[in-house]
Amino acid sequence: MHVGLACLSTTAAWRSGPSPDSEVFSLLHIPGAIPLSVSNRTLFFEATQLFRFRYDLSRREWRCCTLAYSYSLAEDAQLAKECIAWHWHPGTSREPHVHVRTEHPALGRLARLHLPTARVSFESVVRFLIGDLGVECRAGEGWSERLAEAEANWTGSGFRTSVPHP
Amino acid sequence: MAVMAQDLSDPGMLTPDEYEQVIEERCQAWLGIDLSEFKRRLRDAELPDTPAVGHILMLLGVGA
Repeated sequence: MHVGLACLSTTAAWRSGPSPDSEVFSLLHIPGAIPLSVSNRTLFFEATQLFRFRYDLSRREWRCCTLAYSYSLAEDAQLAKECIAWHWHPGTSREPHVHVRTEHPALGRLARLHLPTARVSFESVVRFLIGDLGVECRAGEGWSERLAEAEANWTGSGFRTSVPHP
Repeated sequence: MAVMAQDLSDPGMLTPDEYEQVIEERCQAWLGIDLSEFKRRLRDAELPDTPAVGHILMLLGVGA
């Protein structure tokens, strides 16, 4: 997660906080709504997750398991003009999906549609932003390899914490 | 299994007060209301379905 965020911003940092449920934590970045340079304009990106800790007996280490995520790309820092949003929030919508906020001549307003996806890693969204949309990468050379390595730690079963079990 | 992130020495873990302050700031910046007003509108089902509201709900632990 840190590698991906460093690709988008030199100043943003992850923070986590306690949710009302003591076993669920949320992940957010400080400051919010990261400005992204795309060609000659600025877009804004916001990412939040819910996660819990789980002890992996086979690896003898704590892992973080993602429970929900929301990644937004918007035209404005208030996120009012959202362009694309990747969502997984099983509490209200079971399957991961993406919203594309545009009109289609045949399908109408696509934003109302929940276009199905697999679970999407934060790293894959970062790769899309840089590789497909042309967002300026803030990390140095080798970012793609570092991002791939970071993503490899995200295997659907969570990512490792830095603290092994005592 | 109750696990506190502080037990895992996570330097990025905010205290409950710090965390509430972050949410408060995002309510103000994105919606122009304070957190107590956000919670009132949530309770009374008056919140619009917007991206900013969705992110704040997730920060409040809603969605998992």
